[in-house]
Amino acid sequence: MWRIFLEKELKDSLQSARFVVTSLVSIALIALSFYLGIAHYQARLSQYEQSQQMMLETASQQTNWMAASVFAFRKPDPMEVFVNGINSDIGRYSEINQMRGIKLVRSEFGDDPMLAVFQFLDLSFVVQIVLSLMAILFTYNAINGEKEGGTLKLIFANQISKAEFILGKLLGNWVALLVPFIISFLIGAMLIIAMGVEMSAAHWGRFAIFAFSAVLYFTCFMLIGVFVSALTKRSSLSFLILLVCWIVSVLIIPKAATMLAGQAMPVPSADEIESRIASFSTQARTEFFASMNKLFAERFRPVEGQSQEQRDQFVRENQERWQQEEKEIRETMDKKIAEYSARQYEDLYNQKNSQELLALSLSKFSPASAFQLVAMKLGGTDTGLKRRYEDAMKDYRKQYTNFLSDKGGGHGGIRLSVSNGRGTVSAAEPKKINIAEMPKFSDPVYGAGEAINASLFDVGLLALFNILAFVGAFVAFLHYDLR
Amino acid sequence: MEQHATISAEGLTKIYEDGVCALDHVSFAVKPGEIFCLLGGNGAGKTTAINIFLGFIPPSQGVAKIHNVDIHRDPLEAKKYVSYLSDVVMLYPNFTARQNLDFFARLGGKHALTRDDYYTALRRVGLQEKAFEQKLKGFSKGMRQKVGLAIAIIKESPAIILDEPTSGLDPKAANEFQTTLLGLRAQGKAILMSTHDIFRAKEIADTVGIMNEGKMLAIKSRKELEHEDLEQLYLNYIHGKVAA
Ligand SMILES: Nc1ncnc2c1ncn2[C@@H]1O[C@H](COP(=O)(O)OP(=O)(O)OP(=O)(O)O)[C@@H](O)[C@H]1O
Ligand SMILES: [Mg+2]
Repeated sequence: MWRIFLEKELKDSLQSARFVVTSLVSIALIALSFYLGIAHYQARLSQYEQSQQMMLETASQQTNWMAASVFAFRKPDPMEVFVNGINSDIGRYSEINQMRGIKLVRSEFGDDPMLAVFQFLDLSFVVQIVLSLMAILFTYNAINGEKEGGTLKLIFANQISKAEFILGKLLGNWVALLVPFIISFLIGAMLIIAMGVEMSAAHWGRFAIFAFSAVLYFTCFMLIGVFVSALTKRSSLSFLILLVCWIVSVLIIPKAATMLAGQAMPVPSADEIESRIASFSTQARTEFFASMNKLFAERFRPVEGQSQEQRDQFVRENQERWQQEEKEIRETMDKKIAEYSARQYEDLYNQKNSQELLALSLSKFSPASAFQLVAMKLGGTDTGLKRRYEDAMKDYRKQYTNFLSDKGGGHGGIRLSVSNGRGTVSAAEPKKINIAEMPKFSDPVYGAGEAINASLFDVGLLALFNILAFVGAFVAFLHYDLR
Repeated sequence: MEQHATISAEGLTKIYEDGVCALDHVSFAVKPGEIFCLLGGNGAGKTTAINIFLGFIPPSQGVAKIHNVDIHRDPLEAKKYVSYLSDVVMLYPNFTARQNLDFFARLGGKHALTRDDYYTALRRVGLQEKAFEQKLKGFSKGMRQKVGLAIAIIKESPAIILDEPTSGLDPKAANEFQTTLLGLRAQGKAILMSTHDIFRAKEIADTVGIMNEGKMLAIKSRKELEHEDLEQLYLNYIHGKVAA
């Protein structure tokens, strides 16, 4: 029996101009965002290659390793085609320097504020908007529309059980929605191949899971659509309710979650932390000098009023001990400051983590945020991206620092020049550094296994939403008044 | 031998959740080859009775049977023997007349019908040929009603239940509708229809059941009505001037 309904729903959709036009628009939008994603990725890739090339060329002109400025660049990943995540928010590279720590600078949004204003409309976002809207648009009157058209009574004047009907109805609507989805994703996959994006098997695997969770995502909205439609008598009412649901879960919850978390748990800014540390170290230093002064006064008390000779003798005898003493006090102070600043940063990290956690748990109430999380974790463009790169760059900085000290503390050759008034004459032609000796930065590995593991929870959450909505739709229809 | 009724109600009572008594111990029977008209004004309880016969709502008391099967006990079995035309017939606007017919025919258990079978049914209800393969979107109420009747016919069930099938039809369409019903009667179908149109009822019905406020006030056969003014009778009944 369900087969009759499946066929009917499909036919009904395909023969409806509304469905066909909406599908075509969705297909075009999704295909377009595939295309834009690919173009964006490729532009980033060539920019990456150019910057790296330029860095190497400039460095190879140097004669002194200390003078070479070395940078580590973030390599664009093909998964960015599907989900941009925080990719454009964080810097593209960091200087690798003995003196300074790692700092990712020059983010895309920083360079191009227009991009930030309009946000980068990546595939995951377009999917979130378009597929959910479509799902709602074609199910808001799934049940009550049949009632309004009088067909529900006609159907149930036959030997049909409610369970058969609702299952056939859901399946039919689902398959109808699957058609534009599959077409648009096939076009997307073909674009990826045709435009020559280098995707490994692992990348395709992650893409497949992304597609699967997109199916879970729109299925969820479809089920909610049927559910609400089976709770209401009039389709105008169910449309209104669903529109509100859609706005809340797609537009409000993901944003509000971050905002609420920010208000519930204010996290100090980096500037605030730094000024706190600065004032702490000033204070520590003042204390240090005060205690040193006191110390000096005490040290010379035994020889007070004695001759210069005796005093010198006294100093000579105690000098070593005193130096040791001073060193210890200084070290204690440095340690205190270091500990304080480490604690501040750790607190900040923990607070940020719990803020993020709160935001994430609040957003768990929306399938849209769940889907976005799945996408970002699969794509590796989640909040962990920055940390992964910073860690890899820190490792590289150590490697590079060791390399420099191997190169003799960074002294490649001393350049002597004498000015004779007419120009500079070099005493010895200095040798240029061999850039090939330099250690290479390797990007952090974010494997398919890790990506899938990270996204599993939210995929499960999406599945749970589906189960709940399915049970809701099913039970609501079993109690639906057919008249 | 007394012929078995295809549609029968015994002491049918319906009290809605809000306490409205829509049906009060109503009994009647429709035999094969008989057209039974439930005649009553708005709110008389006609639709309530029909909804009980299709299992859409349970009766508070009494039994409704189709082809001798209690609809409340075994709804799926009873529904094998009945076809129905509701008062709202929008059908599927994106489907053509034939596609609408095809969908409902298969729901009714007719899986092996050909295009010709559908055309025959559509011709029988008097739909113009050129509309057979047109989407229902542009159909008038009368045309949709015809497709609805074709749906009821094609199931070939012994019982046919129609809720106000002629309301909103122009005289010509109503007349065509009536002709089709007479054909069905000749085939031996038991037809139960509701109406508030006294003249239509008098013209077509073999039996008329006069209802008011949930009560069956009188059941008159065609013979009994031959010498009476049904309109006067109806008004008398509902004003309580004549004891039932
Ligand atoms: N779901 C319901 N809940 C409560 N009362 C109802 C419900 N449906 C109908 N009624 C009441 O039951 C009575 C009979 O209604 P019914 O629809 O059966 O009348 P009808 O004879 O079909 O009238 P009409 O000619 O207007 O179609 C009316 O008083 C109506 O208000
Ligand atoms: Mg009615």
